[in-house]
Amino acid sequence: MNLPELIGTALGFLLTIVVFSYLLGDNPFFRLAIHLFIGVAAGYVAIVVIYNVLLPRLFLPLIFGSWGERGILLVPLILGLLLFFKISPRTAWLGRASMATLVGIGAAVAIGGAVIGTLFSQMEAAINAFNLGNGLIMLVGTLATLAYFQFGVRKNDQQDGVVQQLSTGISAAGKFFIAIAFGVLFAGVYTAALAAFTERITSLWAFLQNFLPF
Amino acid sequence: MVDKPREVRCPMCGRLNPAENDVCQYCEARLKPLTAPLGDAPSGANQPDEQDWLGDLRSKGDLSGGDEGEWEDDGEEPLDDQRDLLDWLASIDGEEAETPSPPAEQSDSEVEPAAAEAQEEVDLSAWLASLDEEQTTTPGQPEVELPDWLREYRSQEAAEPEAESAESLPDWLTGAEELPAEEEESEPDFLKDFAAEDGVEAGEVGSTATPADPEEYSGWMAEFPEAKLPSAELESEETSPEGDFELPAWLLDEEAEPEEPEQDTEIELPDWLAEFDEEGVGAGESVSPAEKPVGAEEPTVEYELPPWLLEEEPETDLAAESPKAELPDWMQAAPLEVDEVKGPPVEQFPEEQFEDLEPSQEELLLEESGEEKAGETTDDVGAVVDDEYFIPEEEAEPGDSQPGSLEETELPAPSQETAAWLSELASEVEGKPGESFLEEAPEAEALSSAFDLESFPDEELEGINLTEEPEWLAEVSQDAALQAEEQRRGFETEEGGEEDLPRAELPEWLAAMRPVDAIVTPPTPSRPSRVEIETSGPLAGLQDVLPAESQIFQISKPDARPSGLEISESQQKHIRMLEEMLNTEEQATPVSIPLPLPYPRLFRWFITLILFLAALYALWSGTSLADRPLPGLETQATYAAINRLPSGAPVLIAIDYEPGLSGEMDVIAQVLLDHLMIRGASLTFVSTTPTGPLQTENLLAEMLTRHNYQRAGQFIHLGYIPGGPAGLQTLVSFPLQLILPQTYSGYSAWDPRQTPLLGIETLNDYAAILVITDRHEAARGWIEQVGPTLVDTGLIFGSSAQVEPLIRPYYGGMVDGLVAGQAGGAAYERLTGVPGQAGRQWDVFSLLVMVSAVVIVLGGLVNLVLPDRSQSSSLGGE
Repeated sequence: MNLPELIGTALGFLLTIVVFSYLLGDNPFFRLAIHLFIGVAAGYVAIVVIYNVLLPRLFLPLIFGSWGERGILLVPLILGLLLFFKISPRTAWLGRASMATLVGIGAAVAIGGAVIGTLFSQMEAAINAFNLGNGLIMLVGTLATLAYFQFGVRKNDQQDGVVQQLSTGISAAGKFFIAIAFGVLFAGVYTAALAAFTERITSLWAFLQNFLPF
Repeated sequence: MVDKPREVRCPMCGRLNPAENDVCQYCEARLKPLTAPLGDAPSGANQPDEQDWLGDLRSKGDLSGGDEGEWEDDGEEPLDDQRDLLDWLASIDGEEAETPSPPAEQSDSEVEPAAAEAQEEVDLSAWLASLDEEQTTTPGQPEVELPDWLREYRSQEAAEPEAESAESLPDWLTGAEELPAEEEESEPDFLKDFAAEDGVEAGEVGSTATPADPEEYSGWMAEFPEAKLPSAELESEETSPEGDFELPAWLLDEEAEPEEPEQDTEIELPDWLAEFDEEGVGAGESVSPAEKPVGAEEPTVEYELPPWLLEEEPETDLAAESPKAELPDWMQAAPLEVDEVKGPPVEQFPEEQFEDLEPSQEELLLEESGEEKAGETTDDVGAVVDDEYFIPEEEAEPGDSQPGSLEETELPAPSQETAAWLSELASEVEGKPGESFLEEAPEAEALSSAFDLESFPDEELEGINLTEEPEWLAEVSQDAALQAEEQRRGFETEEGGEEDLPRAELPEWLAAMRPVDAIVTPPTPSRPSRVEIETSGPLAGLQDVLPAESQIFQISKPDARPSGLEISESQQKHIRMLEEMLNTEEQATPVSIPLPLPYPRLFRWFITLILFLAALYALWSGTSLADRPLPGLETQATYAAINRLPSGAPVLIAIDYEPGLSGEMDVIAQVLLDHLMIRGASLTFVSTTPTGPLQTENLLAEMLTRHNYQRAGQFIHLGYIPGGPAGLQTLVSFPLQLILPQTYSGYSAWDPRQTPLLGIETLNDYAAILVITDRHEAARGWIEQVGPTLVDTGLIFGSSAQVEPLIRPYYGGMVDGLVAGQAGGAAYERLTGVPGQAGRQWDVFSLLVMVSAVVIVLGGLVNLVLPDRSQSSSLGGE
């Protein structure tokens, strides 16, 4: 291991220990590590934006591009400059056009993609998956989940009818499916965190192996 | 009691003299008249003095300024038929001469009402002297300019001897001295009212006499110092035959009616004026209300109106009921005034009521009784008469009897209001508006001449007959009577009309359509309150014509609509159910909130210690507690999709994960890149996350050590794609050369030397698109924006374990393969057979997952064993 790698590995080990110090509670070392991480990430993002967005896609074409290209690029330039007026509340109204453009385009793109890419595709997938096994589970789970969120059907001790019992049972099944869904999500998050922890433990162990006899 | 003045002011020189002096010690003018002083008479004594009526004036003057209740006349003494009307005329003058005294003097008169009674018999000469004295004691007051006729009169008087001047006294003055001593004047009620008003409005009139002080009479009576009025002269005036007055026709007609025209000197007045005199003036001396018993029999003090007014009285009652709007403006005042005559007299009310009342309340009560209005009515009637028989100025001579005639007409209202309008009339006559006639009539001679009716031209008085009702008043009364009669007939027709109308019968089908009668009985339609007779149009003269207009304007509460809604049992059940649901919705459901752990940090440390020990054990021992997981369908599909790629196939790889999850995502990325590099794919790296290029460079640094891949020859890094989903949409919609012009290092990406991009113009030119992300937003962006546009390009995802549940539904549709999490990476490694980081970490990871599962299960068991630590609380509660 060369020196730069050693320094880098040592810093990584130190910062990992500092982050683990949060187990003892909030402390300055943990905050230092957090601030360092955020600062480095923000700086890196700024560099990336300047060198990957502004220069090659805006300023360089404005300087070296054709007149048509310059004219087109003046629109994002002006809209981008107007966003700076959002800093002051007195001049924030000047940035409304830019914000309106961003929000409008973003909403239009998101809605269009959701309708085409999610809604129709999910409906098609649900129809195609209607087999005896998974299809039945999907059908029951969907109906039971919808029945659980049907707030009009409430448990009433005075009603002993079949409808009341059936609605109560379906609602309980829906609650079960919802619990499974949240459990899966939690398991995925916990698994991702556990994988990160595993990578960090492995890295620490590898670093220590360089200095330990075993 | 009023003290006798110690000094007497000379009426001639104005200087003060001792009271016992008869003549002025300075100018030798007579200070005391030859008659006995009125004020020296003992209280209650009836002296046979011919000046009694003037003394009575003094007493009234006192009363007028004192308690208003003292104006009530007891009327104990019988009416004297011999009473002269001129007595109270003189009293009118005396009252009109009254002026508002200073407050102190007024208060004296109020606190000493007995003094006013004691002064009822005051000597005329003394009184006149006091008047003169008062006049002289007002040096600051400028001398009043006398009219021409008065000046002439003064000049004549100065030339004539006293006897002649005495002879020139009017008959009414001489007749007044014939009054017996026991006859004391009492005023009619309306005079009292006017007097009460005078007490209020005296200041407006401008008279200066103080009622409490007999010497302070002023006004026109005070200007008679040189008349002196000896009793002998007055007696001669009494006995002198009279016939000087030529009364108007209406007065002459009334003159025949008095039963006992005893004295020739009496002015024959109409009945109603004479009755005023008999009842009011001749009622005897005024007695304070305190002496007057309640309910005692009182002489009739109600004055009677002239015959034409008496005839008008019932008609005006009806006219008063008719709306005033039907009369023109100039007529509205006349019937109202006549109607006010019918008000009850004051004697109908107990005197105690007036004693306890404040002046304002008393005025209100008097106003209700119409007492004041009666006086005003009389006054106004007199004014109307005066206006009709007013003599023009050019026809009147100085000292003419025109003012006198006016006062004769206005006799029933001897108040200061009367003085006001008399003053106006006098000023008009004299051509000097604003001057009071009474104030400018200082001489007794002038006063007598003012009442001289001889001055009226005969031709003007002949055609006057006031006993007849004026035409305009007759029309008003006829209209009112006609309306009242129509109203009465209308009510009678209305009452009997209901029986004549047959009750409507509804047909059966119409009755069936009626609302439920059992619930609400339909209200009986209200009939019009009055029957109207059509006065115009083709239906003129018909009764009971549909009064559409009147019913339209009838505003009443709308009738209650019958509710015929019948509720069945099932509906009632649903209603109850709905009500119960609403009630349950309003009730907050209790939510159990678990109590916090007693030592949370201890539990945290315990779990961390277990995980650290398990990881160190796995690393230290190197044992594998679990085999590598079998790949799932999505992992196998990913593997198959990459395996199908030909060598050098262009593959677009999007590195969209954050550095925080690089431990997990690097494992997945390395597994997939190993497979792609093994397959010799031409790789193009992009990122929609700002930190993605850094992760890409780190990943490539790791991979390039294991694979001999050359930058720009086998792979190219184009850097960051801004805009998120919009950037992806532009990536789909526009040529890649326009969207991605340069590499991450700043070189031109579309240089022909950049072999990975050869033949690439759109996304569909790529053989596969591999998206490695830990965020579901980025995954959905690629799926929603790019996925639908792909034709033959496979979309493969390498995702974090936390995003897998959100991406898996797209598998089989737009997603061709999925490698998720540490387990997916380890499974894919198992498929490729290339050892990697996923395999090395799998032992530790699997042990940690197992320990974590054990901890979770143990925690659940502890929660089941331990007592319930949850506390119930309602939503929104504490």
